[in-house]
Amino acid sequence: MNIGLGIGIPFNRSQIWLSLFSPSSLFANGEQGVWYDPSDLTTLYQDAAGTTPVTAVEQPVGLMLDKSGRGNHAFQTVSTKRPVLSARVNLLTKTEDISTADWSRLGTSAPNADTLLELAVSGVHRVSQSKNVPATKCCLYAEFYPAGRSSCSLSLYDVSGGTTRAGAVFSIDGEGSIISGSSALNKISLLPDGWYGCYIESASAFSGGNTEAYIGATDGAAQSYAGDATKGVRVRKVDLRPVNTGVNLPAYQRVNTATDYDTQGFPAYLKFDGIDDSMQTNSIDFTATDKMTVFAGVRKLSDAAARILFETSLDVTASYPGSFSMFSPHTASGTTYQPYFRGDVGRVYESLTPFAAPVTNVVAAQMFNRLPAAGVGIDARVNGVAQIGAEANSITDAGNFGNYPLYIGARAGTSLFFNGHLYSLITRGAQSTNAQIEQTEKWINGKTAAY
Amino acid sequence: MSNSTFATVIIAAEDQEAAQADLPGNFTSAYTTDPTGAPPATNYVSSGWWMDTELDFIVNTAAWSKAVKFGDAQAALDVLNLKPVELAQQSQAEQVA
Repeated sequence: MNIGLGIGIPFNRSQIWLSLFSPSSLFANGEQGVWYDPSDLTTLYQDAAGTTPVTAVEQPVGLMLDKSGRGNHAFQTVSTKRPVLSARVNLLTKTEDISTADWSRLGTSAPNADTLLELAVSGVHRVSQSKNVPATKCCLYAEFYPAGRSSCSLSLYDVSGGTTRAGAVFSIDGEGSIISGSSALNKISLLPDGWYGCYIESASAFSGGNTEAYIGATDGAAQSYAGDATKGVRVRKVDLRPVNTGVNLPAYQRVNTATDYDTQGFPAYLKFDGIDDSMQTNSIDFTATDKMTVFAGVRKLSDAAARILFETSLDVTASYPGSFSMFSPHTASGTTYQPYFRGDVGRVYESLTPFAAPVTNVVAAQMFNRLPAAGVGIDARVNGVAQIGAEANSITDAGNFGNYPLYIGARAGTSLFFNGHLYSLITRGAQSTNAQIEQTEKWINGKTAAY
Repeated sequence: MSNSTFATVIIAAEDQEAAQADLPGNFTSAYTTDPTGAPPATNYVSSGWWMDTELDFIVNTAAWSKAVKFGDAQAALDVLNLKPVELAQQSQAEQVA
């Protein structure tokens, strides 16, 4: 189906799906389940009683209303255990004011928010921020304008690994060019207002931990030279983020402080700290069905140990017939998601791999509570692609799904705490058609930007 | 959000009962100084948005020992060489690789 949106408005299939499809259709016939949408502020409250709405990012979420119509709201009564609503992507702060203390200076003064002037000393002339980054590829973006110097530099130094992972010197003159650091991953573009957008990307993963982002003036290719106090560059819009944070996100996110940043164009998520954050529902009665479809928009930040994204009952690996879960990952160093459910006797699980953290995905799985001879027990997809994993089915007595609380982000709210982001969660006590699955995946991806 | 402060509070394992009596529902996340994460827990942790009254109590009144850290929680735990306790049933021994 092709729909023209008018001149100058980019065509975005995810936006089309968002406007024409709603996950509410999955529950139109009274199907049991849940639908959580952290991007919908009207469904979020800071307290479990629902008296204080969430009104901005970086506020805790104590109550998340279920949009399925089944009333299976998720809550957390302990204030310190509440996940936090976020849309943060850029790891830096004071991204539009290099004159603040958030930025360290070497061989330079920053007389105002967007001007880097050299000191009359020999050496480098730059500002920097030190941030912890995950063990993955990262990128740095900044915009420059000549102010006596017509060249500048960006670099990312992996302090833990003791090496520079990415760097380039740019000519900010004419159409702009790369003077040194000619990796195909580095880019420069002349912007409509005459500024230059400069970008570097690491070819290899960072060690994980302390990283220095350097932004400097240069004298042509020379990064270390005798400075001139009347010369420098103007700098604005600096952005440091993991490369795989999301697809088609804006290149720059303004960040003033950890709680004051732009959210437009950046997916909203619940941030689970991997320490003690979780939510739960009251018991959800799935006993009328032996089929389940689950969807999640998720960013997994760590594979250090087995973690639960969601689970019904106190422990799906123990004797709770009809319980189900999604591990993220299922074991230490496992680059997996693992849908898992239990029959009356026996269980089924399937490891979906390789999805090494940090990674953003839309995960979908249909679960059929039946004997092995009756067909597959789990039919899973990641980012819209069917996964052919090693399914283990030991069911000898199937039965329907159970009547248990749904725990989100931990096992029973007490262990296996998920470290990552949750963009959407849907569990539907029914089999779903291929069209329903594809439509829901696309809808969730519109909220997740995974692919 | 108002009158709240984000902090990570770490207590000794032997103080868990007393701390939970003062602040119910908290200090349930078990951590250890064992580099492999093997139990038993040496510490318990609560990290998140505390009411200012709670933090005031923790810092100025609570009789049990504690460390109160601000900023990035995981970084604070890493500095203290604390790892989450990995219990036996969480090893997923029955899982395929």
